[in-house]
Amino acid sequence: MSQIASTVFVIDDDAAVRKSLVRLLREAGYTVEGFASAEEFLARERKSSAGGSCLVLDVGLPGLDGLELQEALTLGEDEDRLPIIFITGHGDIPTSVRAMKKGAVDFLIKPFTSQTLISAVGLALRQDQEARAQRAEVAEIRRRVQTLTPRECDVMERVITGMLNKQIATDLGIEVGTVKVHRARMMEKMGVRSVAKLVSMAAVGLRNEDSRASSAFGR
Amino acid sequence: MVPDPHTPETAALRQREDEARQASQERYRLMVEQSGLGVGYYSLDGSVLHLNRQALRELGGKADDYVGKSIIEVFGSPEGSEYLRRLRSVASSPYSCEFEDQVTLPTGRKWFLSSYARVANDAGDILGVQIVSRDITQRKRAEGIVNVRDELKRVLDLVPDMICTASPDGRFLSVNPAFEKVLGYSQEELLGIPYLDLIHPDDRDATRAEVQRQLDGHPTAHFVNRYRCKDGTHKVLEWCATPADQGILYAAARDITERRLAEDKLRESEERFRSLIESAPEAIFVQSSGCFVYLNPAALTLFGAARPEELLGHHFTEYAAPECREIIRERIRLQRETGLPAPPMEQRFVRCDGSSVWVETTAVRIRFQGRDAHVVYLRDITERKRVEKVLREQRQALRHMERVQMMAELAAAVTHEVSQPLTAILSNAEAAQMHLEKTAPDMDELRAVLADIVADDKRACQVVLRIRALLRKETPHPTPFDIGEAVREMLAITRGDHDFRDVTMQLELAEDLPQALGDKTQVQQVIFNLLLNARQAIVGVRIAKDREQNPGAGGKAEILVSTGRDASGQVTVSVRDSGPGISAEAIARLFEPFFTTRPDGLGMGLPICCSIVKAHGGRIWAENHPDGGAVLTFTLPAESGSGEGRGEKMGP
Repeated sequence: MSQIASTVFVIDDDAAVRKSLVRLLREAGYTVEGFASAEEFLARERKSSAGGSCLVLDVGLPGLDGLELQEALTLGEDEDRLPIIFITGHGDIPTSVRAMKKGAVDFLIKPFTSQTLISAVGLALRQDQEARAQRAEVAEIRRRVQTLTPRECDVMERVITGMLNKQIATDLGIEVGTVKVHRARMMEKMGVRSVAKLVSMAAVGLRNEDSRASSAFGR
Repeated sequence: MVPDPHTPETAALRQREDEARQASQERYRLMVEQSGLGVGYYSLDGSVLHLNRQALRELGGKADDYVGKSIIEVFGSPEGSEYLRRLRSVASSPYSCEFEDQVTLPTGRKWFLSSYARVANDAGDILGVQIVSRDITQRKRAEGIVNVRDELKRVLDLVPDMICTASPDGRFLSVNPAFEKVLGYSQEELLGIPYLDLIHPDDRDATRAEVQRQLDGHPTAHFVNRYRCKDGTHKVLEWCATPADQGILYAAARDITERRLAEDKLRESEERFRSLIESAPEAIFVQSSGCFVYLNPAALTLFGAARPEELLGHHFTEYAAPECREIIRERIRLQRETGLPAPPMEQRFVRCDGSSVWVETTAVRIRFQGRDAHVVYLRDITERKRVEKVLREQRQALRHMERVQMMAELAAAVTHEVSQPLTAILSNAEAAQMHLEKTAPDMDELRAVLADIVADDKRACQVVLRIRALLRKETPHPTPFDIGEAVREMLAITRGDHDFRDVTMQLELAEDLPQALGDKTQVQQVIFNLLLNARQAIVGVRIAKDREQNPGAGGKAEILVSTGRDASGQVTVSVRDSGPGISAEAIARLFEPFFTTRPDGLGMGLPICCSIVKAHGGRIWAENHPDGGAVLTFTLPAESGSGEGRGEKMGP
């Protein structure tokens, strides 16, 4: 695997467990940071890590527990929405189901082998990288949309729904020639050459809109 | 009388008439005067109007000596008074009366039969009373019973029972003073009135028949009738009589009015009690010599009998379950000896149809129809027994479930406690393996890993040992040790512990404490658990404060450990924290296994402490300090004196 500055955060209040997991994951080649509580983790100094990050999180923590931290991260900033691998001494099913439903990568019952943990961490980091890439793509689309004039936006919305230039002109009450000019400028600003590409960009933005308050295509 | 001189014919007629009248009066006078009977004529107030010759002869003296004098003066007291009383009594009655009296006269002591009768003129005006006395001394002497009768009379006067003689024509011939006392009439009145007049109309026929029986030669016993008293009430009399002798009835009566009343009341009260027992919901029976002699309806129902005859006379132990018979006999024997009621006891009886009935019995000794008996009270507790059985089974099932649940929770606790060090060991070991794959393994790193593995393994062992101690409830071997030293050692350990790095530890050791008795290692385990507990209480609150974005408030983190002695002389150790204190609900449940206020708590620490302290003969409790924070205190027995009875005696 390529470990370009991937960071794993280990949160467990049991000092011995924490120390051993940090040691193991470092041996596996990751950058690892250990925390005794959710609060300590939240108060950490933020560093962006290009290789992605994930959380190895104990369920039963003093103070804010594992599930509550998961909840808090879901509602937080983009860079805090990290994939989570839960670890627990109690293999209790309702808790694991709850954690998995909220999008946990895995739920490991202590004690577990290094292989189990390392493959879960690998999966989590891939998920994080993908999520970051997607977030970056959406951010890029949003940035481009922001550069469009209102008229260009009108034209783009109609192009995406498959309207022809003539229909767009009638719809907007402008000349066909004017539509063509707006369209060419819009395509250039969005960085696409084909309508198909534009439609797929819109799909990414819309998919993102399901989970975000503001639309990438919004004004 | 002066003849009228003017009419010689009528005068002659009148003279003839006068002569005839005088002749008649003379005849009467002579009859009276020359009669062998003594005749006295008295006014209603008892003064002498006339005494005939015979009377004067008996009294001695001339008429002038007596006429106008009171009868009391004539006869002296008390006889005179008695005669005056009779005289007055007769004056108010249409009947005449006769009395026999012994009278002392100048001519000697003589018996007289005196007849008293009032004298009235043709118009019915009562003019006086005439007493005609016959000297019966000769007859009395002839009969030779004068003295005997005299004594008998005295006896009869004394007898409280009523004694009388009566004639078949329905009159009393004599009555003793008891009659007066009971009925309120004077003797004369009684002698004057036909006795049937005094008898309650409803009893007259029966009385007549009884009298006839006596006349036919039969004795009377326990014949009862009612007599009307002078005051109008009735008395109940019970009669005995001999068969009539020569037409004279001899009878004795006893006033049984009170007894009758008492009997009636008793009967009423008996009936009331009987109806109480008959209608009692509780089964009640009486047994005498082991046999049923009475059963109330509830008892019949209990035994399943339709009628008492099915059980009466049967031995009641036949209806007791075989296993109960011996104890029942024993209870009867005991009761006979002690006379005390038999205390309630559960017994099984067998009903007529062979089914079982569980009863709670009590018994009391009584006299029943003149015999020694026991009244036995039975309460049907079959239903109660059934419910008890069901409850017992339910409780057992519940206890079993609790045990299963407890085992499951214990297993979960063990799993968690052990899984932590196992996770650490496995991760460390595998990290070391990975490290060894490297071209130039760092030996120091490997040594550190191995040291961690050893430490984690020891920790796992501790967990196992602790739980084993909890389960086995090992009795500690008490050895005297210095409690202050034990506390200091534990504080030294926590000082190096990462978990306690932010906590200020304070120590207050009492001086001159006696040595504590116990297993020092176990006691230190208790102290350590209490310290961990205190630290958790503080950390919990600090994290909660941090979450409230109020980081400054959680600053104070202190644990104060102190030692001392309680009132009973036991050594005490208290651990106070600067945490938020404990809720009332939590205080009550703090020492229950698996009870915890922390999300990751196992709820095993304090129960283990409790188990150890109790095994030492000490106590442990939690409370809130008035200045905040929780205080957990436990006590241990102190070594008593120097040597003697060490470890045996505790307290002052």
